[in-house]
Amino acid sequence: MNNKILIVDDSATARKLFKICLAENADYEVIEANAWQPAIELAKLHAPFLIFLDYNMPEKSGGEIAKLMQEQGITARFVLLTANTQQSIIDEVTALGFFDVIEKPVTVEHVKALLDKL
Amino acid sequence: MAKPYPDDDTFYQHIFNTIPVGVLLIRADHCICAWNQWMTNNTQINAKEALGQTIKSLFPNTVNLRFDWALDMVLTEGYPQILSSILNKYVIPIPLCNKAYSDLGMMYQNVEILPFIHGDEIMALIIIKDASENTRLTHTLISMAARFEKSSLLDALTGLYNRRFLWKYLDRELPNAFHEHYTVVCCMFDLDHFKMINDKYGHRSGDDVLVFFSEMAKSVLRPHDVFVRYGGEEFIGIFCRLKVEDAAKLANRLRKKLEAATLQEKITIKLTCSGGISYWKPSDAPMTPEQLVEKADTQLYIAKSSGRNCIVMDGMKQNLNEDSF
Amino acid sequence: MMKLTAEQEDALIEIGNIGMSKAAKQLSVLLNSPIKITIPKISFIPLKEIAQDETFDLEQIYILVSQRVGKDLEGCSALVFRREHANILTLAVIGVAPEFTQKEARAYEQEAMLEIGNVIITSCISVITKMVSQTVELSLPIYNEDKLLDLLRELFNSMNQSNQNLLAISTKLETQEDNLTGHLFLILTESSINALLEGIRKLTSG
Repeated sequence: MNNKILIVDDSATARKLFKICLAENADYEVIEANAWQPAIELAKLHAPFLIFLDYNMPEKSGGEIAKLMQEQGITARFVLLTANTQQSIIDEVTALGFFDVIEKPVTVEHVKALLDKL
Repeated sequence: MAKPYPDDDTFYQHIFNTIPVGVLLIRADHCICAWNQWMTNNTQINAKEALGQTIKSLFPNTVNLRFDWALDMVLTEGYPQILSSILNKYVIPIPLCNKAYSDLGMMYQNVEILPFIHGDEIMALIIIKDASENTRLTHTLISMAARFEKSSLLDALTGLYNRRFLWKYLDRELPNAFHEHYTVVCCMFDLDHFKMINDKYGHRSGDDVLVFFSEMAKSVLRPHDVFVRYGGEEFIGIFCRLKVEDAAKLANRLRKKLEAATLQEKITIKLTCSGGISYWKPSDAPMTPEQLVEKADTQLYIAKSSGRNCIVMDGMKQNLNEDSF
Repeated sequence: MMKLTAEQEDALIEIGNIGMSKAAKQLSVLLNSPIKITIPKISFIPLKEIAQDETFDLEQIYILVSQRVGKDLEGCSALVFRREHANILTLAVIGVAPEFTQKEARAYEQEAMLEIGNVIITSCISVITKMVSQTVELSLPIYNEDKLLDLLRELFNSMNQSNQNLLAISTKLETQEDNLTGHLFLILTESSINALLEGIRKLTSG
């Protein structure tokens, strides 16, 4: 298990805010992707142990991207980032084997609690 | 000559208790600190009983997510909220006695929640207006009531809460128990030989038995216990804040009462039920609602396999003397 | 004319999306149906340019739900939908009952939209203020119906301020059956706009 974390979100702000939450933790290297194609390529290249996916993405949702990644043999823990914690979405990603769901706006505490869970 | 602006409290108190709308004030800790006469007239709860309580403690079996969020927005951010009678059923359950609205059951309400600043505390001023008074709305409200049936948390036959309510309730209660360190006990009851009752006496009698059992449960259980119709002849009771042994006694009390009862001359089969108990104690690892219910189901299976008409917990029949409870 | 930089636009869309998602969650509870709300676009528009923007139909009747904003940020927030879209949304909730008179149907729609607008505005303002570390007060929501320009002019007049720029957050609301588009407008004083943008700058610089 390496220390690489992949964040997939089409919003540069969201990715920036996520990195800020991890800033105090020098143990991890954060890789960014803003769309599903670069996300898959980067996941294959770096083999991160943890992949954070935004739910609301253009073209494919976070859930769909995770499914694609799993089909392509990418083994990592998936975490959903979303401000929309409607039950239908939680059910959808739980069925896909997501490790956890973090509600936006993401805070330092959220991320710390998640990392402690691992 | 009378003073234009009376400066004694009783005058304003009088206005507060005369206005034809419900007014209550809620503090940050959700405790009620003002309750006017309209509220008393319509809920039969007077101010003395209401002050210091929360809405949830006064009306324990109402789950209202919209209201919870709205109250939160007012108390934490100070943002006013409106809850219309069109989109919401009611905030406070107030049965309608007027025959003209007998189809509606509960009063439809237009509610406003306003931030009320007192010193440096934000409180919530809740104003409740009766929306069912307008007779022109009667037809609409009936059709809306029919639509709410679809999303209802009630079982139509017995009037008990249904499965949907159970999951919502446990989703809230288990984390609460975890934070406040109290025990949650789940008992799954199943009427014995129910299929036989339906086959021999018909479904109407079967329905009567279900209603009979529900009424009996209401009389045995404590006001804050939750009792739901889980399935055809399955019921689940959730008992909180009591020792596991006492919960078992409570369950056994219900079982014994059913055993001793006679429904009516028609049904000659003895009515009995089996029950399986599961529990979560603060010393246990966190448990999901599904796990709690599944464990009770397993215990119920043992009860059925052990001859029925018994309550099983931890794999053992509970033949306790419930008089000491 | 005020123009947002790419970073500011990205930040506002992200903040707006979070606010709208929380609103969607509340609306799905309220309307008993899964709801999705997304923000395709955000921009500063001077009032006089609304007329040239083809997203707006100047001849149609729009409904507007507004709440005044005060304290750290001053101005007003308004949710705007074309009447027919508001009609679709509320019809899905209220249902079609032949006993309704036109007048009754309109009254129910108004009540429903007032609450829907209240939920959306409250959610968005709550997220915006939290993320840019500002505190605001909101007034009770008010309903109005008219042609768009008249509605907006009335808002500006009631605020009595010289800044004629609106922050226009276009919103797409999807229910199970329908796709509705509306706008959330944020009309702020110039100093409030600067405070907002400064708050965003602080947020994204860690």
